[in-house]
Amino acid sequence: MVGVKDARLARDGVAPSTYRTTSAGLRADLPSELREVEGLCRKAGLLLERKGLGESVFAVDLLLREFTNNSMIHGNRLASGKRVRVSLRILRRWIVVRIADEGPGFDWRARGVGVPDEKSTSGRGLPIGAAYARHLRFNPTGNRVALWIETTG
Amino acid sequence: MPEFNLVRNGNEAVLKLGEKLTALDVPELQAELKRGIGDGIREIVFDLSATTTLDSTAIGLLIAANNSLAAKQGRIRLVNVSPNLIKLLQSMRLAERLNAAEVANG
Repeated sequence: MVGVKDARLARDGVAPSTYRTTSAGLRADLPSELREVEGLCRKAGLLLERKGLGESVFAVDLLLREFTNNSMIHGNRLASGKRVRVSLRILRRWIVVRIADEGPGFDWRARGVGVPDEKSTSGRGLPIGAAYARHLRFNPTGNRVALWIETTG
Repeated sequence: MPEFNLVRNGNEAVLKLGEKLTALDVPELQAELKRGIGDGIREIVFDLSATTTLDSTAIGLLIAANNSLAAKQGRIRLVNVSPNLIKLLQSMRLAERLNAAEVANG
């Protein structure tokens, strides 16, 4: 069955999202459309619940949203033909999320993870990453990120 | 489609949010808030009793609304905020700034 969203993407020459779920996690290949983040988070939440990791759903959902949004908005500039690839792996003590986009990257070293001024309306994505992931690592270019979330379930 | 319901009473308004407020929902809610503030609303109470998810774009919208109202001697308040969201706001040092009150127990 082809949904309205998939039909629109096909008309625009954009491959729809694909998911692969295994016992150890999931992989997603997404067009850069913000509505795709909902499906990703829903699937990740269901997987974690099935694995008895319900206590980790809030943190993983938050981090998936922040960093997938960043990849789509700032990395791929919301060009739906550009892809964001996400993997989530469940290990014994860790949930590891990796997100890659097709953008040019950014200078994450200069950006830092400090919390911005309370009147600032932006700049909280990386501080949220630092607050909710035990480890946050970018590749040198800044278009791939890996987040290690310690399981609490 | 964003889920929210704004009820106005004089220069105050209560806005009940849905389960999520994220980057996807922000443009429509932002337009609604601008309209309300332009029409004289000076205090907006965001009822988060049904809300489990906020992302940084949504938090930015709440700050922008508070900044706009503060310039007119107004403010926003967040009520019935879940423990997870209170912790998120505290970690961003915003709970006090946004007058966030946790959901009452029991």
